[in-house]
Amino acid sequence: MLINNNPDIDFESLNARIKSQLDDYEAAENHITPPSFDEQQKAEPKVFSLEELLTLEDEAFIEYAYQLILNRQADHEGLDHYLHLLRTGTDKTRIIGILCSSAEGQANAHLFPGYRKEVLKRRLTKLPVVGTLFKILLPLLTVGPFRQHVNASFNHFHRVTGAYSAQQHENEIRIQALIDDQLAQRKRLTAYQEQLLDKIYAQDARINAQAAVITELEEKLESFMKKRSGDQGNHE
Amino acid sequence: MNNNNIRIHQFTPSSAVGDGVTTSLFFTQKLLQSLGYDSTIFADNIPKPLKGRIQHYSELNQSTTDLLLIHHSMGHDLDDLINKAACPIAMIYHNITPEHFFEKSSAEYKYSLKGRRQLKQWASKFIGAIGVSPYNTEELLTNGYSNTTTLPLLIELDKFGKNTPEQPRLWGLNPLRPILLSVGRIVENKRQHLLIEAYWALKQMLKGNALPQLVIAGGTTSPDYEHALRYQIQALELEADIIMPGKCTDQELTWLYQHSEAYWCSSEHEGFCMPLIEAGYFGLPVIAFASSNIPATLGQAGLILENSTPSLLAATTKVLLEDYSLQHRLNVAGKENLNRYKASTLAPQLAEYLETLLREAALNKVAEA
Repeated sequence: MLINNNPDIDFESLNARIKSQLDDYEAAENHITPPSFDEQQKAEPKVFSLEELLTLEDEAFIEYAYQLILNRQADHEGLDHYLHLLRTGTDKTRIIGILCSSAEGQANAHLFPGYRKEVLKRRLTKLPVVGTLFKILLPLLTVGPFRQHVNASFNHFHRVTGAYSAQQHENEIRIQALIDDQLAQRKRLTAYQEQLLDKIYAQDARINAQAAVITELEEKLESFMKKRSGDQGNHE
Repeated sequence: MNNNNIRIHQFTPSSAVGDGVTTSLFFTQKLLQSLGYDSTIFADNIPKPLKGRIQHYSELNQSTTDLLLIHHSMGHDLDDLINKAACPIAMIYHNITPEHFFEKSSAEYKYSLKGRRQLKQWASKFIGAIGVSPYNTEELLTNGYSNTTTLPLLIELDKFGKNTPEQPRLWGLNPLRPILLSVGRIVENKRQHLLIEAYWALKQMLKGNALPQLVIAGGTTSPDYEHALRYQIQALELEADIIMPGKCTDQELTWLYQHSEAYWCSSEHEGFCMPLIEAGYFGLPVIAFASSNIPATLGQAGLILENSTPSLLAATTKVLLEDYSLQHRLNVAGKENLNRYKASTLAPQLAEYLETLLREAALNKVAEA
């Protein structure tokens, strides 16, 4: 339990109290062992850098920007607001700048490697005169990477569309095969149903025939009994 | 004591503002100067704010140096300074974080391995070596060093009280709830995940009664580990209970030390562990797992747990929070423990040790002549 490192403390009694506390805790009916810390948690798909974040689009971009810069999930209002900005043409870096400059973004700055750069950019654009100049110069400075990004996006789009078409074609073939399979199965079932009905009809016919035989036998038995009781009366 | 003509200088490959080794350099310089020695600090990497207090090692004149104290806490590439030393050298060993705590591809991994290799190779080059803790001295002896001693030349105790406390804002601290504190870099070997698990158990034990908030303060060395810790906090729904504010200012730390109820330490490897001493300075009871140098640093202060079991940490904390008499005794023990690290305690010990080294250096010189 505790290492006895101080003669002024009664460790025997202290250890007993701690043990009693531990025993109560472990014996409690509602005792729940927490899920243990797992290295696998690190394998969660996450975005760890600005570069990775900028490759994302639309809702994924906003969700991961919240996670990376604010270290939390996006709330509905925030998601709607920034999605609207994004879908009406606001640059992704501007949204990053806004999130970085917020009080929450500043509190989590240590988690985001590109934080200082983004805040500096945003501050520069707000300066009088210099800010306007910077706003004009910034796109020129970043025209190379931007063009590269656009090319990559087009290529990505083309690749995704191609992959989507191929996937769709494959899905159509798979659905057709499923339909054919279903039809064949239905045919088999119908045939089986017909066979069963035939069997039921035949069975019915047999039962009816047997019933007729039974009725006939019963009639014969009745008449026999009547005859027999008549003969006995004559003897007496 | 007239040591005016004796020059005992210090060297470190790298210095940094607020860094443990750099604090040790300044503290040792203060002691050396108080003993009358002429003492300058030399380094390779010197940040701008320290340029007036530390000189570049190229300015070191070894022929006029009577003894050079070399601080070793990580491997470096200035091997020649030791291998071709033209003056007597002694080591001040701060321990090296073992390589398995770092990513294999990182520079820290490479220099951790190199540092231990150098420690072994250099044993015969040094006329003596100071371990800043018994744990470090033991490693020096294992590596074949002679004339060793343990002197915790580490702490400027006066500095702790100099900061004006500043209450942190926007962290989500609830003024009605007590605080449990843990300070240190967010990195695997500090095992902060055990603190989260211990807090979870403590929450079950206290059943909502005066439930403290846990503040895990410190900059991140391992972002992966920090993300995993935050993931665990979310998974256990402890977002309102455990706060990880990142690196804090000295003013914020002072406020935290002054306003917390207990200090938690879960570290697996510590060459010394300065926050344990700071907690003692501010009268904060410490509960720590027994590992590496932690029991030696705490001495008679704090409660030291034999096993690194989170529920044991939680149960001990519950008992402590409910026992004012125990809190008081730990407060007193923490303050008494500081005496071992005071300049007034260490100066005579250092003086005595340096005399033996200087005598040995003089004998070597005569023998060489």
